Amino acid sequence: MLFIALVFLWIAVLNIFRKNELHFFYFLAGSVGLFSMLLYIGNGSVQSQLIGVLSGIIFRLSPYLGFFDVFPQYGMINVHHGPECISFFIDYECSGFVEMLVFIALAWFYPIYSVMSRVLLSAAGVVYIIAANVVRILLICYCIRLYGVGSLFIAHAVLGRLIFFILVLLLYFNVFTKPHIRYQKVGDMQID
Amino acid sequence: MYRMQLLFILVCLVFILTPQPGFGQSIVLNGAFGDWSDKPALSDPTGDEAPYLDITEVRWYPDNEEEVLYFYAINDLEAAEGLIPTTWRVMFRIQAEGRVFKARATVNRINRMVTVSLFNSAGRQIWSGKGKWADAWGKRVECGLPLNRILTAVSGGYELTVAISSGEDAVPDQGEIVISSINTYARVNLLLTGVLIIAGQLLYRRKTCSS
Repeated sequence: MLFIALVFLWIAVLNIFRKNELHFFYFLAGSVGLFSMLLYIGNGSVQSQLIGVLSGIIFRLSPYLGFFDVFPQYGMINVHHGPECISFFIDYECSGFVEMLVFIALAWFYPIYSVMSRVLLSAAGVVYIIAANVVRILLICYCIRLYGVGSLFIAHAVLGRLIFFILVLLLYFNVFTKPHIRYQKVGDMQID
Repeated sequence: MYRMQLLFILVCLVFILTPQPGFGQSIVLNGAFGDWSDKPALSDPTGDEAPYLDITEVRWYPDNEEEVLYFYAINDLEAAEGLIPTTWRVMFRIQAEGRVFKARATVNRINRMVTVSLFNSAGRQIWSGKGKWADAWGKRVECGLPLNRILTAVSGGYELTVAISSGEDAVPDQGEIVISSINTYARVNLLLTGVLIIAGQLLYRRKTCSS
């Protein structure tokens, strides 16, 4: 009930900003509100589905790469290095759920896209973030395989984050920054 | 536009074609070992200890919801000749949050009873449990240790290093088994998002004002 009330309040606030042409506040309230709503709705079911998709993809890749075992029903990955072994989980934050919601929320209220473009961009962004996460997890597995369980921290906290950061940066540049540069040169705000 | 449509189809394909993981089965400590078939495992070479103590495989499963760390071990009992002791022990050395815990599972081969004791770094027993968790002659054994006695918080993510042994035979022979639920979430991305939003909006406003 409170959620529905907050949604109506959010829509009302958005309308006020829109009518008064307060573009920045419209974008800010819109994207933050949409992010919060999606987080509230998707937390749990969508998030666990995402973990399933991610571990399913890695599970499919594992026979070809051969340096790790995946237990998709638990979202668990097992990497061997000599006699040692490491088990780690693909969890809530590893799923890229929050990153996806941030991207979708921004894409939906970024002022230069048409509705159709926003739908497609959101879909493309989700695929891209899943792929980025797959790359990140594979990199972590590969580092552990090469350098042993002692490299977990570096692989997990530094390299994995760095590669994901770079990949997300590329996405944001291509979706949000590059169109602005194009707009500045061409002067056309509508991008299909 | 075509590229976008292609990507849209791709996202649908990813979700459709990706095999949805089946339901994971948690461990039930009952001396039946069917629930261990899909759990992580580490094999150990045979012949490095008396066969009835020679661990040939260990499995583990941290159940973060139940907050129990389950273990399974199997020895090379078939290769044993002559008399074998009526009990054998599986020892665990667990390192977490800078502390060392030791656990001992004593298996009675006659009545299949397994008694597990967990000790803190001072050597004081902090938990114990027992049940019929072994099969006939104690070839295979399963047990569980309470994660909430080892960690201050399970839900926040943790990293455990575990070494398992029975007498002289350690598994793994060198090094340890690491169990980690620490995520790789890049908090810096949220910061980046914030910076990009502000920078984008400033650029947009500047452009709108100048035109």
